[in-house]
Amino acid sequence: MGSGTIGHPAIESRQICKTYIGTDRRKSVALAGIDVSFNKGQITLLVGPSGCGKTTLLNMIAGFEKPDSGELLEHGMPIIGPDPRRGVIFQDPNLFPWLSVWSNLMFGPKMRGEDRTAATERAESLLSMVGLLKFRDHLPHQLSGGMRHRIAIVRTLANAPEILLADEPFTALDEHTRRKLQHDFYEMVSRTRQTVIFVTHNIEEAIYLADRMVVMSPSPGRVKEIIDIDLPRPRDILDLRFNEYRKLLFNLITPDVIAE
Amino acid sequence: MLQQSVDNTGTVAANPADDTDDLVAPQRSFSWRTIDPLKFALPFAILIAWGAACLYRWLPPILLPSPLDVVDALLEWINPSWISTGHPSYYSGTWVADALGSSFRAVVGFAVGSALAVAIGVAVGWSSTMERAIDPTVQILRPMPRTALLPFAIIFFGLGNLPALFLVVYGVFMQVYLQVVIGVKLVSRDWRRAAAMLGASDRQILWHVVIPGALPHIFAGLRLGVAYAWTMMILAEMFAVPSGFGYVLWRGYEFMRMDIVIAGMIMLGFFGYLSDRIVVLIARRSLVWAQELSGTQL
Repeated sequence: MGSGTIGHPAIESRQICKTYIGTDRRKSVALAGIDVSFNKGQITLLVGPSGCGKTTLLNMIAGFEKPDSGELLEHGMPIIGPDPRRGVIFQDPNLFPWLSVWSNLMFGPKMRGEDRTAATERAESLLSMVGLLKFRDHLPHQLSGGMRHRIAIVRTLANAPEILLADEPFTALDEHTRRKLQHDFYEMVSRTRQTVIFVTHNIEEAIYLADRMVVMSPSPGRVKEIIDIDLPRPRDILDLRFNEYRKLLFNLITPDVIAE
Repeated sequence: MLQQSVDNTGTVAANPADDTDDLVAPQRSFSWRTIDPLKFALPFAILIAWGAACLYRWLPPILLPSPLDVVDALLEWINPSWISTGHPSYYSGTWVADALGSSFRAVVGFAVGSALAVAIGVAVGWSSTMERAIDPTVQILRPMPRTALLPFAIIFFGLGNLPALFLVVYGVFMQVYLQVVIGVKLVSRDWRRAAAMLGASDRQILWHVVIPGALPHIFAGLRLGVAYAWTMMILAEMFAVPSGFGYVLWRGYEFMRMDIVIAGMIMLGFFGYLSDRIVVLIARRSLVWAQELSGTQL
């Protein structure tokens, strides 16, 4: 991180294929030969309609699932399973409900046997960034949904991953909370030039966050287009050029949605 | 762990999570006003009906002794010098020894049986190799009524504590095992994935995620198991142990002494209730999170 090697691939996917066999024994091709690389220090958004395999690809990068064929590399090394170098933010906050907020944040560092002071410092600064320092001794269920999502982001970032993977983390939230969290999320990851791969089906969210966008299309899942988002930060969702990207993406994705 | 929303001067403090539904359970403290009279209505009515049945001789006293006869039997059992009937019986003054003996057999059997069930159940729920090695045997044995092991236990272990402990351990194990396996298997995959991506090893995931996550099911099993411990213990005492509540109860039957039979039943009910409360109390303290999650109290 922060080594100035932006543009160097953090994750490379070479000819990744994945087929699922459903309960009716019919095969569905989730991914048909994905060739894409994700650059270090960039925020890459994976977008596309449901069924395009974006979450499957993210789960493979996380190490939760294995491809049927093809090669998946992190900094040139094959991915064989989950690793704290690749932190994940899930669709649900997925906090451990029996642990306090603080114990949730310290879970990763404690499991990895990391030095307590460094981890404490990181977690405290992230927690105060999202304004939740005073809730450190609460149980997750004593917090609101939006707060739990922020804690989940902090939990993953406090574990200091090299690559951050996010799977539609804000989908279940109301619009105002989502805006706030998108803002907070960008603030947190941009400070350290964190490498991010972020899955969403929300076009506006994608344009708001992305340095680069990988547009996927469904049945079978494949990469349709790669777009660099060239907009100044902080981004204004009402800006004219923002709207041009919105139109571009809308035209790219809509035919796939209608064809479904 | 619970946040005060009202401090002791009666002023309302700032709610820490103001956009949160207030799931914080009220503090439980004893006060006479918290006693719900409705809870006592039915037992009281039964007691009155019982007293009336004796008073008006609806049933012969040999079938239905009066509540006072039962109290007398209880007192005689606990300490014969409290009431001098002058007719010492087989149970006179043996209560302390019976209570200690029965509790020992139930508690030790429960502890060993549930410890085995948790250890083996966790292993079976966690590892498919362990499941293949152990689960089929348990599933073959489980449908057989556990009480059917009584003759086997007596022939194998003779009379005394051993057959009783064997039966209690076996009965408790069968009851708790299944709940533990289910609990471990139902622990959310997403929790396991979250732990893995945070850097936990398989062993750490087992200890720090799977076992805490399975605790609600494990406690459900323990609660069923503690009731089963008393059931198996009584059965063993009736036939295989020359002391204890079950022994007193069965001899009461043999002598047609309904007063001591009812006294024995009351004691068993009381001790069973007490041990259930202890498990519930431990569960309440260990499962604060699960209760908050569901907004209920165990």
